[in-house]
Amino acid sequence: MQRVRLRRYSDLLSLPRVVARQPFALNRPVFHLRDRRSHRVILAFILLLAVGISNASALPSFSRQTGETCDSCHVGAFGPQLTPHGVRFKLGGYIDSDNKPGHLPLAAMLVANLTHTADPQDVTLLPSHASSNNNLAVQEVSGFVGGQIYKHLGAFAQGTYSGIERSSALDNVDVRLANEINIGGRPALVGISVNNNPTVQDPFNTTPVWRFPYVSSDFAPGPEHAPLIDDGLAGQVMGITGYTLLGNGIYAEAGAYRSLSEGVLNKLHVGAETRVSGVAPYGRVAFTRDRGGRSYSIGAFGMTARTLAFGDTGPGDRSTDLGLDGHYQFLGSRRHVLSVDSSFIHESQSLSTTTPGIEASLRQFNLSTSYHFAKTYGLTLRHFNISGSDATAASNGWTMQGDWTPFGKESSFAAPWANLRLGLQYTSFHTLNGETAGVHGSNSVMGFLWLSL
Amino acid sequence: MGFILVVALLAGLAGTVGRAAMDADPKAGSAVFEATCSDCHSIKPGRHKSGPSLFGVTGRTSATAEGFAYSDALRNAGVVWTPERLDSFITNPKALVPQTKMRFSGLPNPQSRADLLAYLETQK
Repeated sequence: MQRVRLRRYSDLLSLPRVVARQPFALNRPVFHLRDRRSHRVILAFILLLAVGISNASALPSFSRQTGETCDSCHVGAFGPQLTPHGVRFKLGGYIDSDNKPGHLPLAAMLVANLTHTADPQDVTLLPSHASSNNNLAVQEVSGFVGGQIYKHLGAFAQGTYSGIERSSALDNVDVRLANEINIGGRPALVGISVNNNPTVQDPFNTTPVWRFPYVSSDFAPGPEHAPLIDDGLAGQVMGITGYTLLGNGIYAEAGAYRSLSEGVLNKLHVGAETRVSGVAPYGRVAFTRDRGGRSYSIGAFGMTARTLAFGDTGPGDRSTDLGLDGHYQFLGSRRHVLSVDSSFIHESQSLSTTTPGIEASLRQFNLSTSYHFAKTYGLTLRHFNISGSDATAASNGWTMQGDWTPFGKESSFAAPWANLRLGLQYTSFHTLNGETAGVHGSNSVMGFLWLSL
Repeated sequence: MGFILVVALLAGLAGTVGRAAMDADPKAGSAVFEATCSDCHSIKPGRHKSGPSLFGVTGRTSATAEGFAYSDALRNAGVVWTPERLDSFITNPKALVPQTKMRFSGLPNPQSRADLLAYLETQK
């Protein structure tokens, strides 16, 4: 037996984290809007950061803060695939700026999509307002506070309304304190990150939070099994990590995560049935090089955690995740950009509490290759493979995406305010949650509109 | 005779390399600019990013592009950006202006620098 979990936005909301063999859980009765005080807690958190940024006369969005257009930091002129410049901006604590005051400290994002699956879905597993197929939805509307708060302190904080769940929740948070110093006569970037999701702070698009696909449909079926480090603690924990980028070569990070209390999670609309017992250590090391028109990295990361249900006592189930990752990016003069990102994660599970004496393992492999032309037209192909000691963990297949990003360049209309990506994404399964027969019925096509202001 | 031939070949090779380094190509420099500089700098007049516009930078005194908030280090440097000074700065910015906020470790390739400077020379 292996721990399974949902792998969609619902993870952040009030859905149970352990749902066996349940491709859709969007209409589960455990999710519902809570009292208005909960909304005020989220709003207060966002405003608290916003007030801090306003006082520092810093900028709302990173683009307006730096005066740079999206293509400086993002491949294809749209997030979240980072260029080496974007990596340094993130590790630098989101504080680089053009030193001009008076920029709005807010940004917003909207994702709308139309999802078609090869076979109609079981409507009893979908939200009551959804159809068995061809669902059109405003999937997410997010508000962001991002940028320099005070001198070396910067933040990236996201609150998200789900048009599927029809409720809001605190999403990704990454608050950083960073500075450049000299170590042995060589420049070093050092910092601290306080964040709520392991790998949300990672600078490479190889680790779980920021790897391809950058947008996916909540209506499309997907693998139910994933390592704990792959969004398994998203929003449920608060962690602090210290990191350094030594020169143009070594990135190292270490820290730990601890569960938020059940009361706080409820107020933030973050669903969790389990909690981390004690603290969960996290570590990351990478060798990375930026050589102007090309960059690469190779590294390792890992986390170990004991989890158990709220209210339960005992040793908990131990999950130990170890990952290897690497990327290569050819940027050249930015007309033709090629990226290859890959990661492999091995998870060892010791289910001391839920099924004593059972040891299990899970392996997850991802490889994606993208090509972007003129910072406007993108093609991405991804292969994924999940396997484990439990046969039902097996899922593998392909995701292909073509997209068009008309804005986000220096010469673009209304830069940097207007940012749009239109795309078509196709996901094909050879195996899904241990099943191969009839699995092609779960193949899906999603057309999407992704807008940010 | 063989020794003379080798010396002649080496001399010819050195001459070729020397000429290649001097044959700066603005078009190639445009590509270098896009690959190396354009994240932080624009070539449009008055269009500042986290770094100032590089339109007309050749021959300009440091920290004088209108509308850009320079660091104290560059304001106090008082450097006139001659091609030689620009070449020195691009090679290793912190060697010329130690406290500069520019996060750029330098462009080590002489030919790339020559091409880039030739391109910047055309932007005025």
